[in-house]
Amino acid sequence: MATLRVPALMKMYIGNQSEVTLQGTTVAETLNDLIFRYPAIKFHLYDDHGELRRHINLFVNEVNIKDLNGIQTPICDFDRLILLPSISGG
Amino acid sequence: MNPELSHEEIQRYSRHILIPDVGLEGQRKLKAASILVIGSGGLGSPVSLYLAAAGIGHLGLVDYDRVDETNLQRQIVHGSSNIGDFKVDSARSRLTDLNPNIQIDTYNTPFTSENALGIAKNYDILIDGTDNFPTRYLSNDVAVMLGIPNVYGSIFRFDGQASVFYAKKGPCYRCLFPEPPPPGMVPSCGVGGVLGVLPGIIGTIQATEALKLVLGIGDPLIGRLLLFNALDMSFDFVTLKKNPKCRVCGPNADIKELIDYDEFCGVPGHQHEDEPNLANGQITAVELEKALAGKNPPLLLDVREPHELEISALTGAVNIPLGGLAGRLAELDPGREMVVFCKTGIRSQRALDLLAAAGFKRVKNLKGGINSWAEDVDPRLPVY
Ligand SMILES: [Zn+2]
Repeated sequence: MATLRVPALMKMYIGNQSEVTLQGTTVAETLNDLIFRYPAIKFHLYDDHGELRRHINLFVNEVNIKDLNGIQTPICDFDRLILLPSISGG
Repeated sequence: MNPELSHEEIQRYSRHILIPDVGLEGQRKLKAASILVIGSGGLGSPVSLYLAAAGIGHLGLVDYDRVDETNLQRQIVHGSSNIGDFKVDSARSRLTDLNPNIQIDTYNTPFTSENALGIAKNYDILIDGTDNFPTRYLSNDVAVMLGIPNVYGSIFRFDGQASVFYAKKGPCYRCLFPEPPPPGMVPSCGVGGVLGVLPGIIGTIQATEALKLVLGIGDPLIGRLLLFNALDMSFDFVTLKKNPKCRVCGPNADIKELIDYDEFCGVPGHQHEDEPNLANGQITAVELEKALAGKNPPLLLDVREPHELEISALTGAVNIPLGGLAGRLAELDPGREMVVFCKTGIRSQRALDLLAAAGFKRVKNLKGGINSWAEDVDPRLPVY
């Protein structure tokens, strides 16, 4: 079980929580578990081609999955994932 | 050689000079520094106040907007007596009062591809205090092309981000976010709201980073991004690496000069929330009132966020927030006449464009949004 931190921008899609505990042995499986439980968030994560949207970054224990193995990055118990979209407010 | 300090300046900055890491020499570095603050709003307010107070010798301020009442909840460089004034003029008078020893140059203009390099070339550091994606990409690219740091901050509701994007020593903003979000998916603070103190926290972090860069002390946020959440009072850090495919700072960069950032982001960077740039398919509040009383009343589609419905609402309207609309088109009947509305008509125009692209042909946008309905039809509703 890993925890995923979700930004203010998206927490309305996961029952207004900022953190959820998820199952899965890879990033892809963990996100599938998230979408299975909170289908409304899918559109905000993936584009029409099923790719993670380009303005969204996902970090596993503070490292960007782009610098690891992408959505195939393995996930262990107690790993901490952070979802980071771009925001523009100032 | 850094400039000398007068006796008055030595007294003014004594609490800096007492710190061994700063000292007289550090304070002279601050006096010699030139920093450009892009945006005199939520972030630009604390940034410019603290940089002026700290004795940064040359500050530049860029903004084209005027102070309005909704700014004062967080834009603390401005006051009630400044409502209606240009933000750069209002900020300059406050900053000059705070510290008359510094030079302040103001640019009362949108920061654009045409003028950005000309303005920024006079400065050592940029501070990104803008409120929209086009100007954020522009600020980043300008900093990369000039080889100077871009001290980044961004806010939304209770969340803040801060980093130092300095392509000479680490990643840039585009390394992290190669592309902006699809138009309408990530709301601005004018749409989504922001806790007033949040830009204070993120802006003071930006000012801190700028001072560290000038002084050459500490460990700047280069290659690290701070994620702040005010509700949990949490500070998370993530590691950022240079993206080898970055189009502006990578080895095969293809962006060698400034581009059209409004086109790149699909949204205009400089548009007043209250002055929507509306295309065809509009209906005024008075016309809508008549249409609703007619035989075939249109379906009302409210694309605001759910909590805005507590401020004001129209009876019978269906609520689908703009960010989720593209995923919920199946809930709408393309054959039915529809009127889309939001607060002022900007989000609903994006919704209309999205619906039109999806084949909806009988859609109109309520001009001026529910605020104009409140002003022209139903004064019981508040304007917000
Ligand atoms: Zn880059």
